[in-house]
Amino acid sequence: MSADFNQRWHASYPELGTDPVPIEPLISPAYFALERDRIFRRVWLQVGRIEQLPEGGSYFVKDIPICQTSIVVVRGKDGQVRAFHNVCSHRSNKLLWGRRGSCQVMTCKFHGWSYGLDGKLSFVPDEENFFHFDKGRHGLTPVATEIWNGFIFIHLNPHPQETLREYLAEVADGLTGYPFAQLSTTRFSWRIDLRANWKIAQDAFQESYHLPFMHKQSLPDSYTSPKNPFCHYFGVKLWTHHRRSSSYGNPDHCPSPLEIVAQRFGSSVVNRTFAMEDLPPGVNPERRREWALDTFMVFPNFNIFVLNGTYLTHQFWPIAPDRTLWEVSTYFPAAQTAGQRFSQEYGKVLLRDVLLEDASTLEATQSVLASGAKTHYVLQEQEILVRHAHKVVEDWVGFYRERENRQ
Amino acid sequence: MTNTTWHAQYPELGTQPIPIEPYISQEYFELERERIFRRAWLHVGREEQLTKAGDYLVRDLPMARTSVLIVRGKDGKIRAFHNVCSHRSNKLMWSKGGSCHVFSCKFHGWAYNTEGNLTFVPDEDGFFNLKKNELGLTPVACDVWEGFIFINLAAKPQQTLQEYLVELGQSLVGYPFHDLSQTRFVWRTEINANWKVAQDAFQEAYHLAFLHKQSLPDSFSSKENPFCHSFAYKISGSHRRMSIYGNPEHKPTPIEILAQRAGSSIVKRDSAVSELPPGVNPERSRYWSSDIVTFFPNFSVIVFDGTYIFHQFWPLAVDRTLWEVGTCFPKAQNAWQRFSQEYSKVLTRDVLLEDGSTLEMTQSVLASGAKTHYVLQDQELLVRHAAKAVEDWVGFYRQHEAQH
Repeated sequence: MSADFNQRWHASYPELGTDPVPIEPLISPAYFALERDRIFRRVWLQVGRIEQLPEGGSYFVKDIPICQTSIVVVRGKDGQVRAFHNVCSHRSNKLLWGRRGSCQVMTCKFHGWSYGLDGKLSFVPDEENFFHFDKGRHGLTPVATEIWNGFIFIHLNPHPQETLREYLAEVADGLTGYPFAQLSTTRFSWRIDLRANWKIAQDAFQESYHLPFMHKQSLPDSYTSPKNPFCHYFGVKLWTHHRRSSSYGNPDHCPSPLEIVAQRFGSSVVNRTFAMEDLPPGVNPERRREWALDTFMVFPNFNIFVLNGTYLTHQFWPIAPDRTLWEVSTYFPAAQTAGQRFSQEYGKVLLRDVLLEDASTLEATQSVLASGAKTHYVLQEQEILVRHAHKVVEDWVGFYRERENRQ
Repeated sequence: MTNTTWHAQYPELGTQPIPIEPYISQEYFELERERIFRRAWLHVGREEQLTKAGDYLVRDLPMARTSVLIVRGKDGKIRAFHNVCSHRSNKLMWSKGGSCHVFSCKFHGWAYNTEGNLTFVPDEDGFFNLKKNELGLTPVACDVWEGFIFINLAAKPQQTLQEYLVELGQSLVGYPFHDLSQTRFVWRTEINANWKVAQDAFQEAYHLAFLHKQSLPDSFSSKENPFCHSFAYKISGSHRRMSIYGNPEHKPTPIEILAQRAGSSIVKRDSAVSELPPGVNPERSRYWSSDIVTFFPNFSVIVFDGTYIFHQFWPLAVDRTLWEVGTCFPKAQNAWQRFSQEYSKVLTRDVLLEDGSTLEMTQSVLASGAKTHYVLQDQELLVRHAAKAVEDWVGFYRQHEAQH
């Protein structure tokens, strides 16, 4: 193995230590309850893209079970994107039941209360029978909303302590200039309800150690080579909450005949035919020619994988300690020709095959995680992002910190 | 229609928004368990389910952490017992009901008669000073009102069933429950919602014009009364009643016209008002469709002319409820009547599916913190009273106030 691919990442981050990490946070209901109160109710959460709201009245609904709520994100007639708890002010019925749509008035099915796109209560059937009733005080409960590069984020604290830009910090710096708007015209998405803790699912996308094994069918030589058989990262950056990695791509990857055709018309997760100078400076900052992709992990649950000419996102929504809604999207520019459309379909189907391999371990792992057979994970050098992810969660949750303080 | 302010007649209820906490709080749920469901009279079935000696019913009551066996004895009397063997506390009868003269435990074969006495103990000689006559099934207070069997899990109920049901119970005396219980269609469904969220959906008619605009477009509302205002409310102790408006100009569909020729349905309007007992539609209004009477804590009967519906909401967890609904008819004398009953049953099902749709949706966002209170209008009087009646028994806020 080339020394070039053998950096000692842990030496740069001594505060992480090198001890095995405990499994308890992946199975404990008490830990899960703390994640709810101390993470998900207190951070900026990505909920969708502005392309989903093309015009005044466009809306989508995002259920957030870990926060015991549902959010409606809606574009007003003034063009402004707003978010509200999707909860009627009368008897707390869930207001909108569909996943997405377009309307000028949001009407509750239960007793017909109606709200404008700005969340104001506009109509109450039989209003005169209420007592000392001031419609102005019964609008939808607003949720803080901000947009970064077309990604809509919400914050369940109506008065967040930091702006979205402050929160995203190094991630926003690193991705400045990446062409999200051009690449978000065509989007394919999958949603999977998974019997696994959200961190198990997320961890599978925070290390490349598994690639030569799990993905030997779908990606036999795209991310590995005799020079770098274990798919070592050549760039890792850990920040306070977020993290980034740069993944190796094999420049000598032998494409299949079909892949050669597809690559003529556009980018895919294994495409190697790009001009490095097109990338903004924060992406592949090392400017390595063996570069495949950068992963930006936005705390707590949103990951952006940027390639040249395409990108994908993962999001892991906790439902229960052992249940997660996993949402994946892959994004492309608008296809100009049938060839480009074919190329995108190729990229999408290849990604699906890779993800099915990834998904196979997640439920299998969770099914034996609480056995007590093991109490800790042993992590190696290249799994430093997993280690960092667990540390950041614990930094916010303070489960072990509090336990130590009690002793 | 006059617009009376019903709340003015019950000033003790106030008009403030009511807190959501009792619908989501685990602590509140535990208090309901101890202070309501182990103390109040609970409806568990109909006399017609126990026609002859040895007929029995089993009611699992997870809320009260027990199962109850209700059995008609050889003397014709209906009795209730904890469905628990006196030996090692195994659950005695595992089926939902049946008929037998000896109740034998599957574990070690201890056997009890229909009066709950321990009659047979295998290998009895091996026990020490065993007094069989002291080891009968543990009795549960049981009484019958108008054919409805009630139990009370308190060791010594503070009131008899008659005292408990008071005047609303009295008002239904004479309604032909027995004749109308010959044919029953019953649905049981487990829903992810607090039992009070479910019950509240059947204590106000404000939602009818919106939620039921498909199934009941004009049966319960009209231009005159677009929001289905009820024309009578009655609160009595922990129980409550409302009289539901029916639109006399309701236009039946062709198939409904056929069905109505042969019997009553929930939208039939040609009722002979005079045949009802005085306590049903007490105002004798020609706009009457039905009375909803809710007996605390979890049992409602909706009486129409010629048919009735019952609802029962059994709490399973703070956010989970077993909902039982039955629609009840006389014995059909011919195929035409049977068709008529089927029509009403299927219409009821459609209405209930609409009702069911909001319940889990509401619970799924109730703990969001988006709202802390319900805003209630005059026509939601019974929702307000239901919350107050529960709190009167539970004392959650009373206790919290006393601590401050």
